[in-house]
Amino acid sequence: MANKKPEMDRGKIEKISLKRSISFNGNTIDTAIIEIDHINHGLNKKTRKLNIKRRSSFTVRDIEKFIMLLDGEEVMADDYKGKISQYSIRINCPIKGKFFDKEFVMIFDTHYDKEQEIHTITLIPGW
Amino acid sequence: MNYTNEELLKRINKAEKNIKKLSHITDKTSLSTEDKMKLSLCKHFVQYANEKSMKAIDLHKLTKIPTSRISEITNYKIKKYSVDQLIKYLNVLAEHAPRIREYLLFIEQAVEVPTLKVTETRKLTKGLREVTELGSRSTFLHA
Repeated sequence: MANKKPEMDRGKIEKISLKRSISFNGNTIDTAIIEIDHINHGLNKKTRKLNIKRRSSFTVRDIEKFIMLLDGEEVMADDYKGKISQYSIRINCPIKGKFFDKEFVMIFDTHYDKEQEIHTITLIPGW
Repeated sequence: MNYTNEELLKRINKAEKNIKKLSHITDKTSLSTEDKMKLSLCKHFVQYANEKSMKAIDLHKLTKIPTSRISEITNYKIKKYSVDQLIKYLNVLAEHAPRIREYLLFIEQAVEVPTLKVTETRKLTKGLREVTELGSRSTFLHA
């Protein structure tokens, strides 16, 4: 699912089915699209490309655990872009051995027509 | 959701700038009854805004509640507000939202109910929980 255009290339993007569906903003979500390379490498502010050096070593299943923490939550969108609702929240890392309990900012989207999907774009260290 | 990297960097930058204002996903099991009530009251603002695709500024234009207050409420900064302050703000929103007006009437009625037997209260609580989970009125009537 990698995007070919260089200004949009953020490496590997994976689509997974959640082990258990969650309720977020009243919608049942069972699928996650995860920009795993973006999460682990981050974007360089100058080159606007993925950093070569990794900043974390999360797997898609680790990110799934972050997403599971959204179960039952109601969060107001930061902005709307057409049918897309854009969110950013503070969330503590639930992964033992990988920044456990450290605060991250999770940036993600939902789409009005794909209410069962969540698109996790990135995790920024919040400390 | 095809963003350019530049668009995303702007979003990331904005989130980093406003980090203290963002909602924090916390474990609610250890919260006091008062805090849980406050969270639930804030949730009505969030639900209304999401339903109408509104931002804090739009809610301000509608209700005249200052944007900073709305932002705090919708980001669950519950330590800054008491239950009665949140009900006061919810009353303002209720002027524009019939559903919230009815909900506030329901709270009024619920508070007026005299203390029932433990089993009766449990039945009511169970019924309410089922309504919340299933979104079905009929379940509540069975309880």
